[in-house]
Amino acid sequence: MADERIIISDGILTLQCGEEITIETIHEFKEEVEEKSNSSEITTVIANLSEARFLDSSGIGFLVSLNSRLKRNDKRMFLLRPSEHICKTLELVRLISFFTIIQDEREIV
Amino acid sequence: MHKFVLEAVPNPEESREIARQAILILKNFISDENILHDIDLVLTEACSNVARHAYDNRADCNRLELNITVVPPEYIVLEIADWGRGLCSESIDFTMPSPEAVGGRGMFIMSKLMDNFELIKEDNKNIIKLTRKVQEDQWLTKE
Repeated sequence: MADERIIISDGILTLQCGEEITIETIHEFKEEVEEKSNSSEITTVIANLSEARFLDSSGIGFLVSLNSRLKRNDKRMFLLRPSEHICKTLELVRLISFFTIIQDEREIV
Repeated sequence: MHKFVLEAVPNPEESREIARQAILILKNFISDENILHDIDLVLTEACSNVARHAYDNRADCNRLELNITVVPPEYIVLEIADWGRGLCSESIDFTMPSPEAVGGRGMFIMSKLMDNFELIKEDNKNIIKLTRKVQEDQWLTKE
């Protein structure tokens, strides 16, 4: 069961991810995140991964697709506080440097 | 040697759940959290492939079977079976797609995290057989 939340404040959309970002969970928030991040009021998307412990290729595909679309629209995307397991998975598929990873929201200028 | 069989309907929810159930079983044998995470990821990818590609239509009569063979203190064998389309060994792509690609990483993940990858066809049954060696100090039990 997904337990993601979407928070919008000052042009920043924060996706508070649950413990798993997988084939099972992404369909519950994918469309909503894509639709809301399309708004001209949103300039930045933060995927808060601080509670996430498991990421599969479907979850990776969702993050890649969102990141690419935001870049095309001159918007920014950050992965916030990914766990060791999430970083290991991103390293495995050679995407650790594809994303901008931050440890604190205050790093966003 | 210990053998376990799990079955599921190949849809996104059950394909993830069967991997979780497998990890609960393997936690009785393996102490290393990184290996358990690797196997969880590999099983999720393999079972997701069945859910997405094996059958033309989503139906409750479709089957996904997972056979687990645990051989302490040496290795684990995972056999993921379906009775649908199956994978063609000549068309499987183990290479990493471009960073912008949305899909196509499942096979790469499986090939990187397991020691052996084999495709078996038995009549209408399609099996992906995956083997992972486990070091002696990463087991909870020696038999």
